[in-house]
Amino acid sequence: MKRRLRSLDGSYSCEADVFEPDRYRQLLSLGAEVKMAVQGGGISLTAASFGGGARVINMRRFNRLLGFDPERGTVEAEAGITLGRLSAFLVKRGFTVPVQPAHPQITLGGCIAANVHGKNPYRDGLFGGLVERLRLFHPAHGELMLSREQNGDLFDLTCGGYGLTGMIVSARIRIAPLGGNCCEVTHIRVADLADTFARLDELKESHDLLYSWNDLARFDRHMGRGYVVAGTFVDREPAPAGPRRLPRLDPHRGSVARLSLINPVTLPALTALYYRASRGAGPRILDLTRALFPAVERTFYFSAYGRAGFIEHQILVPDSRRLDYLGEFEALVRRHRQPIGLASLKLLQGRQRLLHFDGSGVSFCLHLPNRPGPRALLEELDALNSQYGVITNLIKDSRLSAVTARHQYPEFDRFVGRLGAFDPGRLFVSALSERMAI
Amino acid sequence: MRSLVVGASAGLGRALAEELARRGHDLYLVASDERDLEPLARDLTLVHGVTVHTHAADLAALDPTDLRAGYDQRFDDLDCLFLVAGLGDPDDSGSVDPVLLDRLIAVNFAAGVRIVNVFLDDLATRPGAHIVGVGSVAAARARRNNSVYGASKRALEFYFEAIRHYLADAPCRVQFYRLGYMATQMFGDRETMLPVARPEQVARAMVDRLGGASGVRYLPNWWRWVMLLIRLLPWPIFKRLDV
Ligand SMILES: Cc1cc2nc3c(=O)[nH]c(=O)nc-3n(C[C@H](O)[C@H](O)[C@H](O)COP(=O)(O)OP(=O)(O)OC[C@H]3O[C@@H](n4cnc5c(N)ncnc54)[C@H](O)[C@@H]3O)c2cc1C
Ligand SMILES: NC(=O)c1ccc[n+]([C@@H]2O[C@H](COP(=O)([O-])OP(=O)(O)OC[C@H]3O[C@@H](n4cnc5c(N)ncnc54)[C@H](OP(=O)(O)O)[C@@H]3O)[C@@H](O)[C@H]2O)c1
Repeated sequence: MKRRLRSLDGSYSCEADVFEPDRYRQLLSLGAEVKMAVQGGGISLTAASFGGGARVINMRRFNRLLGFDPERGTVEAEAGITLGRLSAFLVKRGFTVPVQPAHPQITLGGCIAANVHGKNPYRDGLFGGLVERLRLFHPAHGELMLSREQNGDLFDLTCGGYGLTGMIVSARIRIAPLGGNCCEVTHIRVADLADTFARLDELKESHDLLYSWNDLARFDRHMGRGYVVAGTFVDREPAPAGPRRLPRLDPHRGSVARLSLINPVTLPALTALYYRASRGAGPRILDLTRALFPAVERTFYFSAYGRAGFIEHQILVPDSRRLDYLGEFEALVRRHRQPIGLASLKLLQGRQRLLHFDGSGVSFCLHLPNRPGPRALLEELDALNSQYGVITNLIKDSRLSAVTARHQYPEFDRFVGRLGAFDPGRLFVSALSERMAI
Repeated sequence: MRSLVVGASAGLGRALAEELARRGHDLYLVASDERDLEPLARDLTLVHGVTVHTHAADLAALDPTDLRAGYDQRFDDLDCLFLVAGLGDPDDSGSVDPVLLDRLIAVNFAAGVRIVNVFLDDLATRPGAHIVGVGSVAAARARRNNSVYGASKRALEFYFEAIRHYLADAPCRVQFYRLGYMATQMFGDRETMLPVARPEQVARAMVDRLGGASGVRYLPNWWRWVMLLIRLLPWPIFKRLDV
């Protein structure tokens, strides 16, 4: 079926032939005649699951739970299962997936392929770390079972491989006991970004949720003010109710708001209002759905940037250079005076390899209107990032060039080489892989 | 409650299996490919805690006594029999390839009759029992496309009427649905100006009606008015329609 598909940030769209197999004989008989892109929830910010002229294979019908072992702490499911469905099952049984991105429509396959992080990546690591084994299908290789022990190289390439090694059919992952039936969340005020670093450092070992919201839409001495969101799972009777309706995030329908309600003129007032509404709030009890998936009720936000959309620029600044970087970052933002729609910081701890958004440092997640002014700021940021050993999250930034990414990721060519060795015909592609010249 | 769903691996049959499991039915699921049935059975067992067994068989070559024996090995009694499987084909118009023709009749009609037949005597006397069949709006008025499919579905409906008559004084209910368009593989990519129902929505309506009266119903219900209009269209106009 021909469909128009759009990236969540609104910056890319194309017509694609979409196929939704719902039987194994349909999935496993897909041939190698046409280029394919694998799609899970299809809600990535960037066009990673379509584009490049590929036929899109949507995995949403392969969403069944296959196994649950509370003793070992594992769950196995088909890759099209959404985190929302998986979570509803696990929470009732006192478990959770320790690494979960912020929206329940995201699928297990999407989490593995983008090797995503959760709400306290410093403590919990990346999603790939949870995966024990997975089943991959590639028309030229058939069905393959992958784990660290079996086909380890391919396992390594597939976790964080952006769907380019084939279709993840199912996976077994580690789960963890859930600390409570709701989450106690505190907003801790911070004066600026340096203060945010300090607060995150203090709290990084002790909280289940830990990230910040900072106001980067003002350029005075209060630039970067905001709060750190620190949450811990607790038990309360009765547990607070979750949202009655979960609005659907459907970027492929296009922007609801033709006008951009979030723009450089409205942003300073909007962020000031947001700051005022949230500051000083004492501990609050949040239901699990809102705590695990904070973006669940913010569907409108993503279309409020209007037709041209926005750019999410997420970077990881190495710990050793973060204060020097901060000085230059702030100077650059002040010089450009482009209000930033959302700024959120998290800490990560790990080792950067292949194309993984990983390493030890502080992650800045920034949303900017997709306009010439903010893009000029981002171009300069790219140059600054390259000087500081900063990496940009490939699944999020739709404007990042192959040259910049190659420069930032020391193992970029290693990834491309290993992928080429496994699949010389390069059957799986996407707009992302084309832009990255992978 | 124990339900047997024929055509349970995808589309409406899968949605029905999910809805029945949600309401606590133990299930016996039939379709042609164990690779689809087994994960569904695992999912329903894990999520809803019901007992699910599967039976992989091609309906076009089904031995109904095998199905019956398989069922009896796993469960004692049957409460609800759902005949959901169906097969359509774009080449089902005019002169049809004989192999396809046989298959369309077998899957859409003959297999259903054979399956009802092997369970009928037990279901007939069982309080609260149901036999539920699935037809199509395609069978409401004959047209050049889907000719064998439509005729087979009409034949199945006719058979259900006969069974309803046969069971008129028995506790077993006989329900038959003329379904409109549903967003499944069978409907595929076709373009239509009419709303297309989600299979989950149709499944819920069918399970809600368990315990209700025997008889024939359109689902979604508004199709009855569309089909009334189509049936009333005079032949000189109808024959010109590209339907
Ligand atoms: C509101 C929101 C909040 C987010 N929060 C976070 C966050 O906190 N942390 C974070 O790290 N990320 C976050 N993300 C990003 C998100 O986690 C990733 O983009 C994720 O990959 C999206 O999953 P999806 O199922 O929509 O996949 P898609 O968008 O469909 O695909 C993403 C990639 O995965 C591949 N893929 C999907 N399924 C399969 C499969 N079965 N087999 C092989 N490849 C497959 C695709 O080819 C593509 O490369 C967020 C995104 C949104 C929209
Ligand atoms: N979709 C519509 O718009 C529509 C409209 C009107 C009526 N209907 C009727 O609704 C019912 C459900 O249709 P659907 O849309 O859900 O179809 P579907 O998605 O194609 O599913 C059909 C089901 O029947 C099974 N089946 C088909 N042939 C089989 C065979 N030879 N042996 C065993 N199992 C077989 C399939 O399993 P396997 O293929 O895996 O074996 C599958 O489980 C059908 O009776 C159809 O005629 C559908």
